[in-house]
Amino acid sequence: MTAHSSAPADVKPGRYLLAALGRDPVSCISLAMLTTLFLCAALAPWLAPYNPLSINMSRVLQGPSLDHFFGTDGQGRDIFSRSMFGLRLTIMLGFTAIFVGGTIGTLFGLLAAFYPKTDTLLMRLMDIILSFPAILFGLAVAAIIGSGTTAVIIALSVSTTPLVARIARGAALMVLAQDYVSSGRAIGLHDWTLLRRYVLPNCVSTIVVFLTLRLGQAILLGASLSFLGLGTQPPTPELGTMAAQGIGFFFFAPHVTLIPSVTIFLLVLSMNILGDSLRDILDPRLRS
Amino acid sequence: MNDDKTIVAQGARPVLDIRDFSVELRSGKTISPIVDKVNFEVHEGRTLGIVGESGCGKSMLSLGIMKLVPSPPACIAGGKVLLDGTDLVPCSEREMQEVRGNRISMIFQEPMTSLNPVYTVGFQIIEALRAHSSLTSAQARSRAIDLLREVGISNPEKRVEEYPHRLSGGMRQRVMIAIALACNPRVLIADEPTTALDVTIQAQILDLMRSLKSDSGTAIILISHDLGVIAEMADDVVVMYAGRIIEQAPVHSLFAAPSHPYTQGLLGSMPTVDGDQERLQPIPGTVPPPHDRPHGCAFHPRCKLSDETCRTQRPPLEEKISGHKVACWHTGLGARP
Amino acid sequence: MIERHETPVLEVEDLTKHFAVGSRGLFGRGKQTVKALDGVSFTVSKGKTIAIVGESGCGKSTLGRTLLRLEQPTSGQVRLDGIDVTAASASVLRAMRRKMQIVFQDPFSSLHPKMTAAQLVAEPMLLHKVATKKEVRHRVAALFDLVGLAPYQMDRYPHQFSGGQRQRIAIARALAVEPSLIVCDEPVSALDVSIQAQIINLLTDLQAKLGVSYVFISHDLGVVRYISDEIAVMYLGRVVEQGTKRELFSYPRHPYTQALLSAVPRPDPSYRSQRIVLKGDLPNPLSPPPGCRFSSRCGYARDICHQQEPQLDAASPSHRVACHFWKQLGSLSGRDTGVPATLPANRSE
Repeated sequence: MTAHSSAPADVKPGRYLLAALGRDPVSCISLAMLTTLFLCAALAPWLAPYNPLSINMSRVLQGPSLDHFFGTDGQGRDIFSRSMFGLRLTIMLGFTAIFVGGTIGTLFGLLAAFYPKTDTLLMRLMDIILSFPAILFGLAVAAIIGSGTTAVIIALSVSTTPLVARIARGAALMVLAQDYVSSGRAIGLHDWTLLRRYVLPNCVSTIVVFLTLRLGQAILLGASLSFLGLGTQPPTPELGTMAAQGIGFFFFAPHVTLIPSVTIFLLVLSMNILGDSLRDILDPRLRS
Repeated sequence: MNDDKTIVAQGARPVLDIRDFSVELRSGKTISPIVDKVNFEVHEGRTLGIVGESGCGKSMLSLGIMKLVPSPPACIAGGKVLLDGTDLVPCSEREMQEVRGNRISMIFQEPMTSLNPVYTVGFQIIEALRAHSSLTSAQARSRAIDLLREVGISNPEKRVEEYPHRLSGGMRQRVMIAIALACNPRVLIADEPTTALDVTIQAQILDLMRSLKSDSGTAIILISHDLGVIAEMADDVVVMYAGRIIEQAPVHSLFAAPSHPYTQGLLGSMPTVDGDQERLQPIPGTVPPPHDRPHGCAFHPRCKLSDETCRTQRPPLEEKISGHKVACWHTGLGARP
Repeated sequence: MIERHETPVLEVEDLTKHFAVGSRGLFGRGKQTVKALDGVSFTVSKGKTIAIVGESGCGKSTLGRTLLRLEQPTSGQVRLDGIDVTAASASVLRAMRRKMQIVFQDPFSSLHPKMTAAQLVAEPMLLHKVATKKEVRHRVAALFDLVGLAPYQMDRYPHQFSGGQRQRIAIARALAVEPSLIVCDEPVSALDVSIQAQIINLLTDLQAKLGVSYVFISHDLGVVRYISDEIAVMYLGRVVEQGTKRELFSYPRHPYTQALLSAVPRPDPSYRSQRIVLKGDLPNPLSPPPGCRFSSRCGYARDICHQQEPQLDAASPSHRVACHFWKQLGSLSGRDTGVPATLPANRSE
């Protein structure tokens, strides 16, 4: 047997990913933008020049200046500091919801694909959930447990679950059709081991790609819920809530609303662009 | 039936004359030859069989003749493709479109994917007809029905309205042949036309191709990995290995006295239906990838007869007996196993 | 017949598998069944090979999967070493899987892409506790040697191997738990001729060395003739002819077997046009023709063939044929027996 030198596909997946991203300038800018935003969010307690909650009635609705980079809001709070803390909360909301919804959705999708008997029941349930707008869910949850961060997370998770379940089911069905799954069954693996060791690892890249694309939407949705007053309650800084608070002064101090809005915009935009390029790189169906 | 004994008029010009034809694969800085200086001729009403395993370059060769190599990464690196005396290699894409489907047509291995699922069979034949002729749509339709009848599809008036998914694999391959023959091409290239089909259906398709050839005089290039199919269909055979022709002979001569160790190996590793065998004699090792071809004779690492000459010098394709060409330094040493 | 007195490793009795096709519709109508397997019976002795031959859609792959209960049979029995596989509980079945293994056709989809070759071969050993974690690497290396792979390739992933090498890994994985039966589902169809011969030789060597039995599913009659002791020819879910290699290849009785044999292209240009070319396509399995399933394509079909389904009839103690007219047909137009067919073909245009 002649053994040919190992194939180039042996490089570390992380490095391969970065190299692939590096070839596209738009992705590079998005990655830089996203990194900055994430750093701001993560380091908010150390970087923020002011306490985001401290009120200073002598400096109300000031425009951007050297003292306050982004100006101050209706209660004289520093918008720069509040934006950093708001970003932190917004991102955290999105991630938690994606994590919870992604996990439950993956579980449902895999079960539906693996046990055809549960398929109809699970997927019809998902269809029912999918037929409610997420905003309506937020309203319902807020009505039951009261407005707040928990309500937003529940609403976002519930509305993410059926989408993930569909994607996971499709990916799992494709994997289940492969002979290696039959081969695992033929050596006598338990269903659970088969799912965990054979099906899940081969679906995971498809699901992760979908989740990164969904993250942007979830963040936008979370901010919208907060904007409507269903989410985080003032004075806690959250980008959606902050944007809502500035509406009253929009005509003479637009920056109070615009700054958190633009932050959300940049965050979601760069996430979407990165999610797209990630999909191009990772999705096996798009790879040649 | 002595169709393989048809004598080609001496000095008659071949329909297709391939000279020093090469196709290369370019990826980054490495250039690897997939088809390496190939020469052969195809005559009117005759079938040329090209045999080889996957990776030997036979499919690239057929795509190259049509100028359909996926470019990049592949490209035609030199040589001539003379169709009735005119070279196709320098032709523009536009000129090639005139040639393809009209003077040279092609059928592929996979009858399931080579038809467009959203159009009826009739529409696809009519489309092929009208691309190269000035038939009215009514004329084209009746010609399409005739073609379907010629390829042995029963009830063609009805079948013309069917969508491909309603037809079986064998039927689809018949439709593909009808499309390929629509404009009475000079050359038909059939790339593994029966590989995806069952044996009994394969027998039907081979029968059909044989009778069409004797009716129309179209020259056929039949590409296959199956020596049985080649023996059954071809008049002349070309055996390819690692992008080069290593043996070229009339079909009777090739199967009676296979001379290259690779051809012998292929025949020795084929289990036969008639008679019992002691043990198969496989060729050891695998076909080298295009970027890593050995020096000298490309077959030497897998060859029992290889010596110093084989490792360093490439054997030329030389005529050993009349009409029987072999590229081997040791021809004549090994008899058929 | 000496082998008939040996204890069979595998006994298959009247195995049937029906698939429901199409949705039930709102009111329970419109559901059709495909009889992928319809009353298949055979036995396999220790160290022997039975080949299941047929064209696509004849049910041969379903048979392989149903034998191993990767598909649940509709009725019938499969006994492995005397134990009923069809009735086994989930946990008994898992334990029994040690005794029966499968090698698939496509070596590019039959190996878990994210496991190394060593992990793939070690997995069944660890699962069935054939080897401890300590000794498993040794055992894997020994198996690698057995199937003709080098030990330094153990930690590579499937995509780093060629098709033939992958099939060797799949065989090593099947052998890892020392099974008494391996179902080979077209194991060489996806490979090149020269590689195909390597794998066939490997399979026969392993059988001689380890005494494992094979159910060898294939459409390639050349391969089947080379590797098998006994052959069953399937058509639309039924066995139409079954016998030893000699009986089937030298004295084929069923018109379908005869057509199959004559349709194989021979590497011999002088063989041309001695073929029986069957007309038509395989009928739709949802609505097979009444009577004999082959009647719609058979050149000898008479009225009775369209009305009554022929049963397997013993032409010899080991040779069985399901045809109303096998006695009159002779074998392959008397090519081997010298007995000409007495039943004229009714070929009509």
